[in-house]
Amino acid sequence: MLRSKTNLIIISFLSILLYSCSSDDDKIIEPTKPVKEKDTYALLTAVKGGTFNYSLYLQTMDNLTKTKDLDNKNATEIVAETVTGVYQYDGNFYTNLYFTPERIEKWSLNEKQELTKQGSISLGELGYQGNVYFKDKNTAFVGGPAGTKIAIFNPETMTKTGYIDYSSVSRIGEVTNYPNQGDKINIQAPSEMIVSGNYLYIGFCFLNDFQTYTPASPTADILVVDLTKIDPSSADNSNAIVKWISNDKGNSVGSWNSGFGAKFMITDEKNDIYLLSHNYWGAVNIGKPACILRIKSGQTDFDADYYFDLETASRGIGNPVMNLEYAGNGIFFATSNDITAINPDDPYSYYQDPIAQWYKFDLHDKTATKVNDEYTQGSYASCVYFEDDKAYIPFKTKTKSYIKEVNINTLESKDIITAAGIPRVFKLK
Amino acid sequence: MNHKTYSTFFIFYFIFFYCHCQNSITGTVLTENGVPIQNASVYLENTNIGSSTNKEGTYHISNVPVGDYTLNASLIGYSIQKKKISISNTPLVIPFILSQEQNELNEVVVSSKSSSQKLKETAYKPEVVSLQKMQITSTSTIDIVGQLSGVRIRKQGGVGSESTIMLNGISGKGIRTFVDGIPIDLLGSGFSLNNISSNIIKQVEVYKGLVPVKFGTDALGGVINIETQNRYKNYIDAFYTIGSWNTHQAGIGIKRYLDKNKKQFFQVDGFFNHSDNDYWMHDVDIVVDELLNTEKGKAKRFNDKYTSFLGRAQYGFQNVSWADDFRVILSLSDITKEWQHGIRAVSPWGEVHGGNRDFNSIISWKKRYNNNLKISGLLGYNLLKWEIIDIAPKNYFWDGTYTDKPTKGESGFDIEGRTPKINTESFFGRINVNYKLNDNHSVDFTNLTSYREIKGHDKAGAATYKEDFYTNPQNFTKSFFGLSVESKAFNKKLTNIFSLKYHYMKSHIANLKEDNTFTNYIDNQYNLLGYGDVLKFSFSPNISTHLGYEYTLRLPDSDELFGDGITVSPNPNLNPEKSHNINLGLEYKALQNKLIIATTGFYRDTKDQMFLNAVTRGVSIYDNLLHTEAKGVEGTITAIPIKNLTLFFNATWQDITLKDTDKYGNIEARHIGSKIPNIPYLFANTGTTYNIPNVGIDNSRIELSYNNNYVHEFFLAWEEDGIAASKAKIPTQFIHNASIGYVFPNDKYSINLECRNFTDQLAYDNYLVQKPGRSFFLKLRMYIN
Repeated sequence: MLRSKTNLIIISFLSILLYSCSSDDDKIIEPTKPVKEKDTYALLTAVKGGTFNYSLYLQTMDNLTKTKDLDNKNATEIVAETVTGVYQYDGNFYTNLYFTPERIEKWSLNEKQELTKQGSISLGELGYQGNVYFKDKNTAFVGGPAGTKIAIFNPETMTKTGYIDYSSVSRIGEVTNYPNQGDKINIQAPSEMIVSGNYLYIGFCFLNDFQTYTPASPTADILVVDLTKIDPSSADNSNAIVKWISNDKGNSVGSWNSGFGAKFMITDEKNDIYLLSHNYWGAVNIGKPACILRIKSGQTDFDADYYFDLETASRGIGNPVMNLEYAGNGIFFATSNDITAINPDDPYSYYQDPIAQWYKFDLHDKTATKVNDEYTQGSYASCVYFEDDKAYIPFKTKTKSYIKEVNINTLESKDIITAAGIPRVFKLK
Repeated sequence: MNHKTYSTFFIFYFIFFYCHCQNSITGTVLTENGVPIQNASVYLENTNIGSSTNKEGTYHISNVPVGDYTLNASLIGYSIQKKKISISNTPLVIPFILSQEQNELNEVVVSSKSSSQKLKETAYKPEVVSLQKMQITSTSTIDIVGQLSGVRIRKQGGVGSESTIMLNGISGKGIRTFVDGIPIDLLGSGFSLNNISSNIIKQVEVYKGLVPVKFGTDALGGVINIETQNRYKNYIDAFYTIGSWNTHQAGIGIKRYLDKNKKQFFQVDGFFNHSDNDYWMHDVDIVVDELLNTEKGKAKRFNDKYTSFLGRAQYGFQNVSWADDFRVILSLSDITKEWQHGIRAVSPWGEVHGGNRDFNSIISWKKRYNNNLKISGLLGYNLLKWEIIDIAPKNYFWDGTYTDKPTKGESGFDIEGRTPKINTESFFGRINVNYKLNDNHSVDFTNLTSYREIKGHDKAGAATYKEDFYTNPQNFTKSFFGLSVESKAFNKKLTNIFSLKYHYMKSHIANLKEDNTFTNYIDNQYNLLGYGDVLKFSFSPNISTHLGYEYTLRLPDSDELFGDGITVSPNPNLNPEKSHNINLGLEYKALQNKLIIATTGFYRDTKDQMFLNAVTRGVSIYDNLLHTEAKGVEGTITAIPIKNLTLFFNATWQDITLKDTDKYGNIEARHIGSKIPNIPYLFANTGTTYNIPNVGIDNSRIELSYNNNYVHEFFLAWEEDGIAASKAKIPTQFIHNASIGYVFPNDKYSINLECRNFTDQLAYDNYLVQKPGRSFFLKLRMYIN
C-alpha cells in the first residue's frame, strides 16, 4: 500500500515536471497581440427558410481584397424568418420588415463592433410598406398602400414624428379603364421616394388587383411634395403636396422593397433623378419595355426628351430588366431576366431559379454590355457595392452564393467572397 | 364512386350482422374481509363481454359463447384476479375475492394489469393513459396527451386553439387521431383533441411510428386513439368547471340499461366549452400616441373567444345473440371561434371569425364467434358545415386600435376578403376481421373506405380567386386494405406481427396558380403499398424488448387537398408522404410493477413531407418539400416509492435533420444534416400524485397533484447561421401545474382546484406565439351509478 502511494507521488511529480518542460517553453514569447483594427466592411447574407421567408445575417469584414469563404457562424442574426429590405444610413443599419410585423428596426455597431438593436417603429398603419428614404439624421420617409399617409420618422430616435397626408389627392377609385374598360385604381402604393433639390418625389405603384399585382394604370406616376413646406412634427403636411406627374412610357415606379432593399430611383452627379420603370411587377408583363425615365434637377415634371429602353439595349424586348445600381458617371448595373430560362413547370421558377444576367448600362450613351455569362437569381441578389473602379456584384445560383469583383471599365471579374446566403456588401462608417 | 355503388358497398357490410347462441356467468366480488365490492369490473379477457358488480357485490354476464376464457375481476385500488373458465351450456357461478393494493399507482402511470396495461404489452407497445382517475381534474385532453413520453403538443393559444402533435420526430398530420377507432376527420372537429372533454374519455392510446392495421389508416408517424367511456353499468356522470379567462366547461354522461339483463342500453354524452381566451400578451406593440408610435407592453387578447358544444346519443344492444355490441350513434357538434392571429402573433386580427357544425351518424357492430373469429364493422355518415368570415378592411394593433386598409380581410394584405361557406359530406365504412388460427397464430384484416365531397361558395374569395371554385363539387375517395399476421413462439415469449397495407386514393380538386387565381380541376389517383414488422420478446415477466420496422405512407388529407378556405389554398398535386420507421425499446419492471423503466430509440426517414409553404403574403399551400431524418430516444420512469405516492418522469431527445433538398430548391444544400428549425429537440415531463385517504369521511380522499413540462430552447431559423446569442429562439420553458382535490366516497362527488402555470412563466410555441400565463380552474364532479 505504502509502495503504491510512493509510486503515485513520484508519477505525479514526474508529470508536473514533464508538463512544465513542454514544448511551449521552447517557443519565443510573442508580444501581446495587437488589438484588432476595426473592420471596414460588412457582409449581409439572406438565408432562405422553409418557406418564402428569409433570415438575415450581418458580419464585419476587414477587407475586400482577399478571397474569402464566409459562413454565418460569426454573423449576427438581424432578421428571423420573414421578408425585409435593409438600408444603411449614417453608419446604422435599418431593416424594413414589411411583411410581419410591419416594422423598421435600427441596428448599430458598438465599440466592439457588435451589432445591437437600437430601437424600432411599428408601421402597421401603412401595410406592406415601401422603401425608406433617409433625408437626414432626424428625418426619414416611408409609405405604404394602407391609408393615404407618408410616415415621417426620426431615424436617430426611432419615433414617428408626423405624416404627409395626401388624402386630398388620393387616386383610389379613379377610373383608368385599365386593364379593362371601367377598371379603376384599387391600391395606391408609395413604393419608393427620393429627394432632389427642394422636392420629395414619391413613386407610386397603382394596382387594380393586389393578389395578382395587376396594374391599374399603364403609366409611371409620381407625387411631388415641396420639402420646404414639410413640418416633420405635423400629422398633416397636406399643404406641401405639389402635384401628380405621369409618364406613359413606363409603368410603376420604385422597387417596393424588392431584393432586400434595392432602389430603382437614383440621383446622378447633377442631381438629376433617373428612375427604372420596370413594367413587370409580380411577373405581369404589361407589354412595355423596362425603361429609364428622368426628372431633371429642380424640375417638377418628367424630362420628355429622355427615354432609355433597357430591354432593347440588353437582351431584347420581352426580357424584363430589374435593379438600378448606380456606379457613377452615368453607369449602372442591372439584371436582365432571360424568359427562356424560366421553367414553365415550376411555379416558383421566376422567383427562385437563376434566370437573370447582370448587365452594365450607360445612362448617357443608352447602351448595355453583359457583365459575363453567369446566371443569377435576379429577384433577390440585387444590391451592388461600388468602390473605386470596382463593382461587388452578388450572384446566387441553385448551389452557390457569391460576390464577384467586377472592374467597372473592363468588366474583368473574379469571385471574391463565397457566402452562406444571398450576399450584399456594405462599407462601414 | 356514385351513391348507388356506395349503397351496395354498405349493404355488403351488413351481411355480417347475424345471430348466435350464448350462456351466462354469475358470482360475487368481495374483499378479503368479506365486504361486497361495488363497481368492480368483471369481464372476459380479450372480449368486449363483461359486467360490473352492484352494491351487494354481485355480477351477471349473459350470452357468453361456448369456449375457454379467462375471467377477470378488477377495481382500481385492488389487485386484479383472473380465473380460467370453460363455458358450455351450463350457467357458471364464479366468486372473486380481491385484495387491496398496498400502493395504488396513478392511472397515468398505469395500474397493474388494467386493460390499458394489457394493451401496452402488445408488440406495438402503445403508450396508454387511463383517464378514469384524472376526471376529477380540469386538465384538458390535449394537455394530458402532452404529458406522455415522446409526445410534444404545440398550441397556438388557449382553449380550443389549433394544436399540433409531434410524436417521435414526426408531427402534424403525420399523426392521425381516432375516437373509438374512427378517424377524427370523419367524425368532425367536435371530437378533436383540442375540444373533446376528458370526462367522456376512458383512455388514450398512443402508437408511435408503428401502427396496427386495425385502424385502417395511413398514419405516417403514429396514431392517437381515444377510447370513450363504455361502462357496463347505469350511471350519471356530470361536471362543471369555471376558470380564468371566463372559461366555463360542463359535461354530462348518462347510461341507462333498458332491461334488467343489461342487453339494451341508451347512453348520452355531451359537453360544452367556452373561453374568452383573453389572457395577457406580453412584449407586444401598444399604441401610445396619435401618430401610432408604439411601445412594448402587455395587452389582453381580444378576438379569441371559443365556444363549442358536442352532444352524442347511443342506443344499442350488448351481449345479445347476434352481437356482442351493436349501437347506433348520433352526434352533433357546434363550434364558434374567433381568430386572434395567423401563424405568428405579431400582428393581431380583430374581426376574423367563423365556425362549424357537424352532424354524425354511425352504426357499429361487433361479434365474436367460437373464440376464434372476431368481426366488427361500422358504417358512418358525416355532414360538416363550416364558414369563415374575414372581410374587415382593417389593420389592428394589440391594444384594439386599428387603421383602415384598402383591401378586405385581415388574414392577408393582398387578398380581397374570404367568406367560405362550405358543406363537406363524408361516407365511410370499415370492417375488421380477426381470426385465431391456433394458440400461436392469428390474422387481422381491415378495410376502411371513405368518400368525401365538398361544395359551397366563397363570394368574397371569388374576387381573389377570379372564380368561385367551391360552387362545383370536389371530392376524394380513399380505401385502405390491411392484413397482418401475429405469431407467437417460445412459450409466447416472442410475438411477431407482420403487416401489409394497401392504400388507394382518387381525387378531383381545384387547382390555383401561384398568384392564387383558379385555373381548373385536376384528377389524380394513387395506389401504394406499405409494410412492416414488429417483434416483442419477453426475457422474463419483468424484462422485455421490442423492435419494429414499418414503411408507412400518408395520403394527403382534406385540409391539404381542399385548403382551409382562409390561409391555405388547395393543392391537387400533392404526393403521399413516405417514411421508413424503426423503433427499438426495452422495458424493465420491478417491485411488483411499482417501478417501471422503459426506453425506446427511434429512427425516421421521411420523404415528401407536406409542408405549409407561403406562396404569397397571405396565402400558403401544402407542398411536398422536406426530406428529413429523425433520430431520437425517449425514456420513462414510473414509480410508487411509498404508499399513496406516485411519480413519473419522461424525457425525449430527438435530432430531426434535413436529409435532402426539395425539388424546387427552396432549401440550400448546405443545410443538409442541420436541425430542422422551429422544432423542439429536448423536452420532458415530471409528475407526482399523493393521496391522503379517509379525510373527514371514510373512503374519501384528498388528491394532491403536481406536474411540470420542460422544453429546451430551440431556434426559429437554421442553427448553423448566426451567433447563438443573436438568434431568434423559442426560449427554454419550465411550466408548473398543481391541483388539490377532495373526492367523496366511491368517487360520487369531487371538487378540484387546479392552477396551471403557477409560476406565471411566459410560455411560447411555434413562431413565438404566447400561451396563457397563470390560470385557475375549479371543477365540481358528480358520479352516480
